[in-house]
Amino acid sequence: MSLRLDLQRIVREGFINFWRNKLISFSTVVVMTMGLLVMTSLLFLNAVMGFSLQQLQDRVDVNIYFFPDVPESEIIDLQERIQIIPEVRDVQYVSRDQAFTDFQERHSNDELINRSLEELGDNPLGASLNIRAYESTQYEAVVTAIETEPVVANSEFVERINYYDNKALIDRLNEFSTISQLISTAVIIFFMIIALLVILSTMRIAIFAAKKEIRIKRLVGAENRYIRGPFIVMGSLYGFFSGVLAMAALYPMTRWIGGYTKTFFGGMDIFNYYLLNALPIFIIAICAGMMVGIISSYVATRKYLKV
Amino acid sequence: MITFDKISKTYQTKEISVHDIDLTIKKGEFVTLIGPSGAGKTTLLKLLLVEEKPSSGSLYFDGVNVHNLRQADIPRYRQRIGVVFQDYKLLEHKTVYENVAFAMEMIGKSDAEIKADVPHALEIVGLQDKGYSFPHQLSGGEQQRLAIARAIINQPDVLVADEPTGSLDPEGSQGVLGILKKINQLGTTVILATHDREVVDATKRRVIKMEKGRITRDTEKGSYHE
Repeated sequence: MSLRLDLQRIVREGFINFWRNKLISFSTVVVMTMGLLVMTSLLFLNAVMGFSLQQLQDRVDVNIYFFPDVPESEIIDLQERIQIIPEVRDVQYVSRDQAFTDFQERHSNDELINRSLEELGDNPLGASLNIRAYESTQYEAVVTAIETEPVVANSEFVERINYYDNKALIDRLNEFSTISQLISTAVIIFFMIIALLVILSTMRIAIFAAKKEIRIKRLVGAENRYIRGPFIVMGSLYGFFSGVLAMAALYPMTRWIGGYTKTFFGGMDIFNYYLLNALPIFIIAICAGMMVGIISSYVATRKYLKV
Repeated sequence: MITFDKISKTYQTKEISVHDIDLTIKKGEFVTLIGPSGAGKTTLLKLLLVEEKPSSGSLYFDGVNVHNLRQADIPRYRQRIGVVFQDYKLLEHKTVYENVAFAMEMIGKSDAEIKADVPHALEIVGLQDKGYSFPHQLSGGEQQRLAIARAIINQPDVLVADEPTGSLDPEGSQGVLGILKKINQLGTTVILATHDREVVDATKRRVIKMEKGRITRDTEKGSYHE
């Protein structure tokens, strides 16, 4: 028999069975959709967690404060040298004037400070460099590299490096980041396993309902591929429709939750994330659904083929 | 063609279903198995179909011990046997037409052959107008005739019919018997298990009587009582 004819008949029967067993198909697709929704929601949770941690890490920086009389050219030179350290994301130079303006703005309502500045008549503040690393765990290496610079080592130039003031905070942030990533990975894996088990069980129930049919087909001389094939086609159809439904359900869900996440997580709009990543999420949802459908139907039919 | 060699089947409940059966059926024979319910007729047919494994003994089909066949070879063996099951065993989610066509698809017949042969088989059993019906929409007799159409469609080497007239009126029973005789005339070996006395008497062929799992009578041209 030609392979083409074989395949054609198997696929046709899979489609027909999917359509004729409406109740089973419907309930399997609903359960699989729920499972896929849990799985895709976890992807979103992962993205939100990553974004929040990044936000926290972005707020951390190390500042080098210079004495007021340090020449600007020395500081600019140092800024260029720091910029080429691989772990450094950016270095911002804050001039004396800028520091003074910022200070005035921050304390514009403080009468005492304003009067003190007027009495001084000169800018008492020095320039500074604000350094941000790619990861908060890299600050120690960055500071060690900076401290080898002659300008920094010169005690007449650098008034203070605030890394050591913030070290405890940075260490705690690193610890928090590691633990939260660990927990979120564990939660994701746990719920993914649960979702997969639920989908697998549903497929097994769907195939259990066809136990009698499998037995009859065996007894009238059907070869395994003819019995198993349509179930695999059905399994992939379940997966496909569940993927489509899950994607459709995610649209209003993320749209609704998006507003809240934007406020709560400081700018992360989950709806925007959904729109930007719709295609990869769609592919992941459909592939996951189809893979589970195919594997579970293959495994579940094996049990009933021993007649 | 078919040889049961000292075959016995004991179920897990220790109940002996068939015991030490020695039986040979030649190619082209028409054999009627009779006996009361529980005599072991169905078990014997299940052993032939490799639906059950014997507790002891062997069963040869064209010289091959069928219970030594690999799992993958069993479908090809079963394709040589057409079966009318006592409980019909129809595919509930397939139409009448599809139930018969399925048996042809199994052996790789082309769509053109299926289109030509299925209506003809349905006509033989009087179901030509029920092609689009599902089994649950048929009466018991119609389901039985559908099972016959499926069993004969591939012109098997052996046709096994387990109580094929069980839910038919006398006229229907004679009709089924006529089909079986016709199939037999075309060279197919027929094994008919029944306790329908009128059917047995009308066959006028070899009759094997079973009681309590044993063969108690084997007559070349027998009837129900003798």
